Order: sequence, then structure tokens, then C-alpha cells
Amino acid sequence: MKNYQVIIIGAGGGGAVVAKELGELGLKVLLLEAGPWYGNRKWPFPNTEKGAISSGELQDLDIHLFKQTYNKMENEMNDLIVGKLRWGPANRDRPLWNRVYEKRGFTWQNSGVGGSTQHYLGNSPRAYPISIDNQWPISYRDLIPFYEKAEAELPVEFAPTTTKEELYYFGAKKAGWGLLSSLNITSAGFRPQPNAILPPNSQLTNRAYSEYELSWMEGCTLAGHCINGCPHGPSVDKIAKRSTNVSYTPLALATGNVEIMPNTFTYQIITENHAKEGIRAIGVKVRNTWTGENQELFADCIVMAAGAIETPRLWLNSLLPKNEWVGRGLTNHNMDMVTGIFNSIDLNSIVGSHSVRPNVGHTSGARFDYPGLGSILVMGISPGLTSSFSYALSTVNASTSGNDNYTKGRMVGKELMELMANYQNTLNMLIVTDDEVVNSNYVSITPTVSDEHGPVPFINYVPTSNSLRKKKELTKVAIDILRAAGAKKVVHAAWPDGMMIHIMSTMRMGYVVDYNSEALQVKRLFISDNSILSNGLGGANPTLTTQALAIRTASIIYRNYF
Amino acid sequence: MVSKYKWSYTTQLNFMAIVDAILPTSLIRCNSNLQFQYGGNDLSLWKYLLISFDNFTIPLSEQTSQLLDISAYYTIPTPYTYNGFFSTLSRDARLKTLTALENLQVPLDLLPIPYQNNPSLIKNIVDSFYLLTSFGYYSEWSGYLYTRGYSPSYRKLTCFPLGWVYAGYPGPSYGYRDFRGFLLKMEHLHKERNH
Repeated sequence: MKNYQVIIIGAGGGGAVVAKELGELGLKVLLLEAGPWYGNRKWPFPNTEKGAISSGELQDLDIHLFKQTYNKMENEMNDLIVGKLRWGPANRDRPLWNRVYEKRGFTWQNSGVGGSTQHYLGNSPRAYPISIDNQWPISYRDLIPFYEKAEAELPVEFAPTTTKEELYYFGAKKAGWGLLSSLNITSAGFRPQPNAILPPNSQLTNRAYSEYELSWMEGCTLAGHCINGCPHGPSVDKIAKRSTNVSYTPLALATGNVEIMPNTFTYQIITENHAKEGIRAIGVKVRNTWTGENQELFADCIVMAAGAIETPRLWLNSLLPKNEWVGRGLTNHNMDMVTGIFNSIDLNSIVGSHSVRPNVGHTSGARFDYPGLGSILVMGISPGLTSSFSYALSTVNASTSGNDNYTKGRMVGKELMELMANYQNTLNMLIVTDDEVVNSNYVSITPTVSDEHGPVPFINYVPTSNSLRKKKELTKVAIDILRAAGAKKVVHAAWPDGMMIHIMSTMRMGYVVDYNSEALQVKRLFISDNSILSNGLGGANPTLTTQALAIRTASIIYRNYF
Repeated sequence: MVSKYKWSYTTQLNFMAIVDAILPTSLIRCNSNLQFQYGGNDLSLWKYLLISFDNFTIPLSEQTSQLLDISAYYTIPTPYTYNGFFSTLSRDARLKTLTALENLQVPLDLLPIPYQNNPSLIKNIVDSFYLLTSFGYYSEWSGYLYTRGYSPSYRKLTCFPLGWVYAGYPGPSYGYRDFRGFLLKMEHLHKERNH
């Protein structure tokens, strides 16, 4: 067995960044990933054959395989149970990895190299300064250089305007809001999304190139498949949407120091009691998800980057020292969906188009920021996901009360069909609430329910009254903007509170990890995923902040231990 | 390749009854015309639900069918219940049964395992009915035709899915030319910062 200096658990939004940074500093890194690796020659049939054990070569990445897998079909890609982008083993004939929910709701995460950035929208806003300063052990100013590095490397650029963004900007202006021309958000208003998506190819509007040819060139083609998994670009490392499997992973491989082992589930951290350092991490126990074989691997430092559900689970299943904040303080941005349906004639006079074209452009190309309340993501998604998230996911049956100018709740039958017949005239607004951290919301384990990797995660989330108030106010802002833009009908879905899409703050900095992202009670054990966020960032999407912290953490690991 | 799934007849009927309650064949109003639209069962969506329910961590299709019959018994006045009872109810009565289940207005201790005294699982399963039916209907699933029951890695899209026609979705795209410029550029912000 080769010796590694650092083992990283999880090749998602955080882990791949740490791997690349440490690889560049010359450290030998092993990156473990529970799910499949799509677009790698060593796994030509990633969902049906076990393939190789690991890969550390940039040449193994194969754009043809990648495009074959990422086929942009939403059932094939996004189905929560058997989709290619699900939370489960590579073999789709095997069931999902189980989670037990105390409250209504479910988690939406991806296993695989790239983790949940495979289906993320690329939205890369910074946290709101007021949600960091005096709330975290670190200041907003401290974070800025790391934000800048991540923004340059991904890279992050403001989303281009397509029909749906133009319609939204029109509505937001008419509702009295102003443009926020900044990355550091201190007041409320609208702006294009800062997205980790390459700018459109300069030839995009040149008819000399077919759309197919453009999809093999560098740059976003506005194809609208961010959420389904973006396959467009000339090579794996130049795919337009910068999920970590196409951004930080190729950069990590290019260092020649990083080996990545997919299909490998880490179920235990190995520690020892060292005379000088006390309890410290020295290795991991892993299981191959195809063969069921177990293995022990050792390194000088371990980085947990398994996500805000699996990282606390791993801590608890490893019987690491007791800490009353492990798994505690769970936030999820208490999301909801508001949808506007427009009339073709109105649209033509506003945006010069007879439809909103929700399937065109970045899945989310514009946003509303409201420090103190949260944010709103302006979206257009593929039709199956639209019908599910706009009209089917709800805790109540549809009703329209006399005073309200919108319908609230779940649609079925003829009403649902009529709404979906207007799919092309639909604009979605995702409510992303600045929800409060409380100790009573948590990820724990349930000793009575185990899978092949030990007791499974047990999730409990109940929003505080303050979070519910903020959600309500944001929902009102979204409805007002849709009305101002001319929506003829508005539907407020009323999602269950337990929808886990942005899953954060279960191993909070200042409580479970220190200022350096190192566990307070276990030396040489670092965490680099959404779990270390001290709060929900005020309602900003979490990925960029986790990536900025990952860059910082890598430099600290190198400085302190090598 | 042969489908690996086997379901009892009454379970199949109950799942058809779910799909029919959520997306029945309808006459809908579209651009001020009335238009005929096929329902979910015409696209065999009940199979999609059954396959999905059997791919949860533990297969749940048979227990879920029993859950529907028992909830119907406690929601709709009837002297007795039997396998497939849910499927004999009117569309309104079926939706009422789902609502009663969702609101936990059935005796939780009399439900089949794993639903017995498990309110969060019950609510999540009711959500799954609605989510899977609509997601299956408007995604490409129906276009897999005779490969629908295959292992997911062996399905093939064999026709243009009807749900895409109904939603006006053109299917996956290589790109669109609807580029209307940028409202902001990073380079401009960097300039601002340096001044």
C-alpha cells in the first residue's frame, strides 16, 4: 500500500478543493469518494461494472465518456431513487443509502466525484458580511482573499441575461428595487447570479456554428441543463458549469500528487492517544461499495469532507470524543417555491418574446439578496422538476383565499395539467431563508437502524418562529416581484420545512472545529465541507464559502503539519 | 432483458388509483380551447411508482398498498375493507384518503409496518405519491416504452415523451442563442474595488 500524507473523505464541493491545494504544495493526497466517477476511462461503465480501484492521471479523464453519462435527461440524471445523480452507490440496481427523518422532508444530495456540485446551479455568491462578522470566529475581511482566489480559479462570472432574467429584472425594478453592483452585499436588491459557469462562447450567436458544434467549444451554450448535469465543453476540464469534478478535480490530478478512489465509503476514523498531541487521527476504515471489501488506510492528517450529514455521522460512528455540538445546529435555508405564470401577449411587450423560456440560459441566472431575511433564486428548470417542485411538493392542498392574490398549495388533476401546459410561460423563485441556528436541530445516528456502513443518519429540523417570519417576508417579496413583472397567476407551493438542499452548520466553526477548521478534540482531523459553516451565511448559497474555507484550510494543514 | 418486478394484482390496482387521482385523463383549457390530455395511467406511470417504491432502502410497494386500503377504511364510511379497496373509491374519495393520511387522521397504531406509529414516514410517502407521479409524467420516463421496467442503466429513450409535448418542452438541448448581454461583469467590479 502506498503511503499518503493526507487522506480526504469526500470529493465534493470542499474535498476536491483541499486535494488540489495540497497537491500543488507537493503533498501526497488520497481523495476517497463513496460514489461513482463519471467521465473517467478507468470506469467505462461506472454504474454497471466495478472498474478500477483508483486513478491519479489527468489523461484518464475522457470527454466522450463524460458526455455519454451526462445525457441531460432529467429522469435519468435527477431521479432521487435511481438517477445517476442520487445519494447511493454507483450500482443503480442497489438501493439508496438510507436516512431516517424525524420530520417531513428529504435530502437532495449526490454521491460521486463532484458530489452535489454535479447538480448544483453553480451559484457562487459570497456570504453576507453581517452574517459573518461577530457571528463567526473569523471575520468577513479574513475571508475575502480566499473568496477572490476561488472566484478566479473556478472561475466565477455574472450570469448572462436571457429572456427569463430580463423579465425578472423588469419586475424587480418595477417593484421598486435597485441593482446591487457588488460582491459584498449589505443591502437588499437584485443582481445577476455570480455563477461558477464559463461565460458564453463568443460565437454563440454566430449561425455559422451549429448548436452541436458550440456544445464542443469552450463556454456556456445557455442550454439550460445546469441542474441536470452540464456536459458542454471541449474537454472534461473545460466543461461550462464548474462542478468540482470538472474544475478542482482535473487541477488536482494535474499536480501529479493526488490519487482519487471512488466507490469507497469511509465508515470510521482511526485515532490514537499520542503522548504529546493527545487524541489524534491517524487513518480511516473504508469499504468498497462493489465488492464489500474493507480496508484500513493511514496518513499524517485526515480531512472530513463528506457533507453536513455524513461528516457528523462519521464522527459519531467513530466514537470520537463527545461534544454537545457534533451534528447540532443544522440549518437548511428553510426553502420554498413561488411560481409565476405569464401571458404571451404581455410578455411580447415586455421582453420581445412570446414565452419566458424557462429551459434556456443558466438554471438560475439571477437572484435577489436581502441581508437579514435571506435570498431568492430566480430559476427555470426542466418540466418534470418544475411540476414536482412548483406544484406537487407541498404540505397543503391548493386553496386561494379571498384577500390573497395567489394560490397556495399542491395542485392536482386538470389544474396541474393547465399550469404545466403553460410551462414555457413559467418563472420560478426559490425562497432561501436566513434560518437561525439552534441546538435542537440536528443530525444524529439511530442505533436501531444500520446499513452496511453502520448506524444511519437521523435528521431532525424544526424552524424557529424567527426563521418562519423571514420566510414569509421573502415569499411576499417574490410574489410582489412576479406581480410587478405581470404574472397572471402566482402559485406559492408551501414546501415542508424539512427540505434538505443546502445542508449546513452541523460541525460549526467555534464549537466542533477551531479557527483553523481542525477538530477541537482530535488533532490532525480537519473538516472541509458545509458542516463547518457557523451559520447559514444569511441565506447565501453555501458552496463558494466552503470552497474559500477549503483553500484556507489546506494552507493551514501544510503550515502546521508538513 | 426481463423486468425483475412482481406485484400483486390489488397492489397494481391501488397504484393505478393513486396515479389516476393525481393526473387523470382530462379535458383542459389551453389558449381558450378545450384540449384532451391523456392521464398518467395511459403512460403506465403506476409502474414507475411501483418500481420507485421497491427501490427504496426496503421494498415498500405491498405495504404501501395495504396502507392505502386501511386509510381508506378509516376515512370513507364502509362496513369492511379488503385488498384493493382503495382502488374502488371515487377520485374525490381517494384524494380525501390521501389528505387524511397526510394529516395523520388514521389510527397510526393499526397501520402496517414500517408505517405503524411512524408519522414522518407516512407524510414522506404521501409526498412521494405526488412528486413521483408528476415527475414521471413530465420527465422522459414514458419515452422508455418497453424498456421502462429494465434496470435503469439499460433503459433507452425510444420515442418523444408525451409529457414533453404537453409541457412544450423540446427535450435536451446543445444550446440556445438567446443571449441578451450582461447586466454586470466581474472585471467592472474589480475596477471599482481598485479605485
